[in-house]
Amino acid sequence: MNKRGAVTVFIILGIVIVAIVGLLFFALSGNIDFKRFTGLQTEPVRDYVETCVEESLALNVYNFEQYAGYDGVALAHPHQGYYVNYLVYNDGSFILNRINPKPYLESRISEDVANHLEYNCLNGVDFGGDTLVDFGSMDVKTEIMPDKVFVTVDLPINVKKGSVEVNVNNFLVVYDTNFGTIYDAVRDIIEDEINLGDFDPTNYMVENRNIEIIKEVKQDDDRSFIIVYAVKSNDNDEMIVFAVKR
Amino acid sequence: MKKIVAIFMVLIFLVSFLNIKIVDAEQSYCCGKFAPNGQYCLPTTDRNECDPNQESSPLACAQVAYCREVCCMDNDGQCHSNVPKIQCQDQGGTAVGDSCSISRCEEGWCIIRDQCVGKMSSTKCQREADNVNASYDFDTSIESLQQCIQEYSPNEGCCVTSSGCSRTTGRDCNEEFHPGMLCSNNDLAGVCTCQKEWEKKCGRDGEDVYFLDSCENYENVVGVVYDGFIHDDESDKMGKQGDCNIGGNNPSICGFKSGDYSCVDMNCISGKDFTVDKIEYTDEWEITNKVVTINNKMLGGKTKRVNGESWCYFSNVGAVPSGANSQHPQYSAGSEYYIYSCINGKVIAERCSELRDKYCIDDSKDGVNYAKCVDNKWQDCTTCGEGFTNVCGRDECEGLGDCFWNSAGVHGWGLLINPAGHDTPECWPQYPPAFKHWEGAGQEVCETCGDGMFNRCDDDECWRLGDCSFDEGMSTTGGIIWGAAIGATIIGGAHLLPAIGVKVGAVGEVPGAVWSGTKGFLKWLFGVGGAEGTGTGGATTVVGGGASAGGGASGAGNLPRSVIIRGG
Repeated sequence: MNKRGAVTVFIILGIVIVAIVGLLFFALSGNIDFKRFTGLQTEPVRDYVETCVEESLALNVYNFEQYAGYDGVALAHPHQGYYVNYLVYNDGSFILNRINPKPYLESRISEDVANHLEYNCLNGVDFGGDTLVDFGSMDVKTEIMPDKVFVTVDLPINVKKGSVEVNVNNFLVVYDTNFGTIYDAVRDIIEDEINLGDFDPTNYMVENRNIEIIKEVKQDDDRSFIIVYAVKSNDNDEMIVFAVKR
Repeated sequence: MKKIVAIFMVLIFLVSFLNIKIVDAEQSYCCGKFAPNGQYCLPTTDRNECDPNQESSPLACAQVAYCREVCCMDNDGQCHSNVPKIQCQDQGGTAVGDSCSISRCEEGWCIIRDQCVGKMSSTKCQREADNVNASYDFDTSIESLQQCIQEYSPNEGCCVTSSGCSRTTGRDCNEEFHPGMLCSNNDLAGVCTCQKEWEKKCGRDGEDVYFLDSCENYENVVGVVYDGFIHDDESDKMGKQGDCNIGGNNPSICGFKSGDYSCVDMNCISGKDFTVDKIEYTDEWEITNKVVTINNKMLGGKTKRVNGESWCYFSNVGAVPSGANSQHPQYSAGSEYYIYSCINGKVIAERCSELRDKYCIDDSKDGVNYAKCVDNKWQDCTTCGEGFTNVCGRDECEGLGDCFWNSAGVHGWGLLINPAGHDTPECWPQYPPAFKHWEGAGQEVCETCGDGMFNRCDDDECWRLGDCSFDEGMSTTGGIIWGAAIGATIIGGAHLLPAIGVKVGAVGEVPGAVWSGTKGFLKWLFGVGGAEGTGTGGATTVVGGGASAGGGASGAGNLPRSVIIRGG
């Protein structure tokens, strides 16, 4: 055997080893999934769906806190190196309230969760082995509470393995967040800004001890006032920053 | 010169042309919805940025109707001021007017099931309450959660009013409220004059023994160390002197014993006192805190009955002529079937029915006695043996209902073949019924006594038929007078029911007296009154006493008892 021949053999041997390891890994992975569904356990399916829901929910809540109820920067004011959305804007002729109402945010979360489930989580999902999974039509409902967000998903799922099958339905995800509490404070600030022309954070914080409000007033180039509010939960670091122009 | 003017004009033309182009480049549009970020009523120079599904206009946003500021009520019922009309509609809200200063949008604290839910509009509060199918309170005067909790708390405290201090819930206090505080607290010494631990009483649920202050406000369970505050949690009360234990092997409950309130045995034991809290009878009189001593007779001949046990009691004392059969008292007028129960250390009497239409039977389960009332089916007993040659047999008799077959007796023609037999009918009611004899009822039943060709009415048969009286040898007139007097006694007097066995005043467990009426029974039982009905005790005075009582009570002395006089 010459040197070139030996190298070729080693290369082939390496490929074979890699292939065997890969096949073993694949087979073992399959076996793990197989075991999970033996006896028709529904927990893996339930965990999988609820994890997907929570991913989408968490991202939505994060965005709504970052952009004051919006998906991103909209009509915004530059503040400390980033942009904060205006929720009250006076263009000189009229003053508009730009807050998105809670039911609208709830519907947006529901819509996003449904899309995420359909296109990212369930589309082409493979639970391994010969497990077959069928999904029915989906209905998602979201409720923003002061310290929680509830998402309920009505999604009939049929899991079949061989001659055995189970049905899973009704998923509930409870996400701990003070977004609802912060949102309520933001809304109160906006209402006072529009109806009273000002807002007193001190009194508000005395009455609502779970909220901290930082108010920063600036004068714009056109001599109008721009107020930036940072509304923070005292229980954690969740915060909404927004601007008011009046 | 003309040339210069012409060049100038050309220049002006060109400049003006340029101006037009500049103006055209700055043309602004008002997007109903700005596509890139989803905001409403934003100006843009590029109309393509407007959401094609929404309105847009070359006018300023302040000038277009769809951007007009409205008060928008969202799906939750919450109102938002100055929302662009197009946004309100697009996001599923309802434009409820230009301003949110309307009652539907008025914000206040929403209280559902005594819980402060939050500050919101009245519409939203109502929806929240509807969701849980509960009533709600909506209070616009509440400023904070703390104030809401204080004013709507279901927890109790001291309510200070101009008329005094009382322990109430925050919800029920319309004036100064001190949550969790007893009215005898030293901090309220200037406003309340209540002295702490003034007396003891059973708690409002009757289970534990509580202290009351001098203003008659409940304080804490006896044994809880006084610190001026309410301690009603189970953990505060557990193991304390006044914490009675209803469950367990030795159940106890608050009761009056040896002149004081304490935890007493819930079983009924002979010799033990219990207190009847309050018994009212019309507007005439009432009994409160009457102490009754339990005796063996009350317990059906036993010395102890456990809590929850019940047993039959028959008030078997009546007017019995001397020498009469010893069984007769249990068929006397006024006798009634009762269920007696031992409930929380008290003996409770409950009558089966007014006229012995029901009788009581005992049953037992796991060694504990349970009594129940059943219908008395006596009506067909005397039809036994009807027919020319029919002889009443045991099966026929007992198949007719609650009937008693007298094996020694024969009926009708049967006497011919058994001349030594008893001369009474052999099928009688097992539980002789009662009649409203003062209204003339029962006459037809009593008149059947002695029916049959060879039958003769005797006292045994007569009393067995029901509330019938027998008087051998008395004249018809005398019998009527005697019976009338008995009837009067029944109406005007009281049951001489030895249920509780208490002999108070003139009332006594005296054979021969005939008593009737719940009012009289209660008076006898608790030893009150005496002028009305209760003065009629005594066998020898039953006639006269009954007559006077009848006059005193309801004039029932005119109502004769059904009387059958045979052989007189």
